[in-house]
Amino acid sequence: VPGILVVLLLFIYPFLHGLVLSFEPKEGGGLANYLRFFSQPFLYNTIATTLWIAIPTTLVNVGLALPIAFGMRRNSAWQRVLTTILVLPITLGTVLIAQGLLTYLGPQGWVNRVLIESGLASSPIRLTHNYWGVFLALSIAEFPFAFLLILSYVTGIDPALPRAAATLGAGPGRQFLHVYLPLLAPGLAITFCLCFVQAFSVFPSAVLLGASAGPTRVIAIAAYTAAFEEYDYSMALAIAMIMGAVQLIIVGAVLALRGAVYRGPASGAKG
Amino acid sequence: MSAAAPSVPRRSLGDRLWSTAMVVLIVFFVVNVFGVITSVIVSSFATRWLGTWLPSGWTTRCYSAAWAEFQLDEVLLVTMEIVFMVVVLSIVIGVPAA
Repeated sequence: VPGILVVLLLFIYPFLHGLVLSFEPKEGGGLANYLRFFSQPFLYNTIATTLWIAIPTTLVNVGLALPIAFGMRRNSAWQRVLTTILVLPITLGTVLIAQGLLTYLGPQGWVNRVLIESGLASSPIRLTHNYWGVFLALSIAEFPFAFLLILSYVTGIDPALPRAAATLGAGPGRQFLHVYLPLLAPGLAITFCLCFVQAFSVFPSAVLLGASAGPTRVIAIAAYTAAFEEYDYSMALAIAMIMGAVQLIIVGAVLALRGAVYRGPASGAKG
Repeated sequence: MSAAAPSVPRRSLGDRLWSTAMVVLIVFFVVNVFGVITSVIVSSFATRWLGTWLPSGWTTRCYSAAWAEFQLDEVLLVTMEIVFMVVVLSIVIGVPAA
């Protein structure tokens, strides 16, 4: 009971308070904030910009994490070493990673030095202050997250099932396709949703590594500008509500898709 | 299944290519993560670092300056207090809820 009370107090109450405030704009009727958001391209384009960053990064990272987690499904020393290493970028936090990437990927950074010295590039490749800076910063945070989540789903599958398939002559590829993938589908959907929500609310790396005036002007930056540069909290809350709504739509669509694709027994897997 | 049994299928070329690709991908990622972290550490000890592989000089001045400027001993104390409070509150609220 105290748990529910705390959730109500710390989450539901601020959310409802914000929702109500977003309908009390500085000027105009109740819907003025929302009308303003959807009438100004500078504001409503942030949805597309953010999706254009969040969806590809999530697809790439979940897509890469799945085969690697699958390849590491057997409990080995490598699995423990890699898990430990991959926890590092999550622990260090986005700001340190963003600062590191600025130096590392910058025109004088080690990546460009290696590329130029080895003759792969004739002049420094621009990897910061644009789309790719944000993409790579998100990947460093998202890939370990996706890997660790998927690994826990993969290792949760009863190894007797693929062994049974192996005795019937199924190689690793067919085991993956017919045994693991159906059992992993719910876990993959959850992983995709969590990674997507993280990427969609990207803020520090979009400011530090992106071009926050244009190509990576994500929706969180629009909300920040409204709140702390225009001091229009009502507008900022309205943007936050729109942000939440877009996230809910995508998450709902992914879960609905999972429901449509996946119709099998859920036994033998957790999640 | 014992390895001596002749019926064990040999790993095909495709399998080996696949696992090599996976290892290359992991090594590439880990190398870059360490590169990023190392570049932060290196630049925090650097005096000047412009257009070279490594900084031209080393110093711990930034650390002592940051410690003095932001009164880090107090900041760390406050941080630890907050961490402690959060842990206690989470346990007090979370354990009965679970």
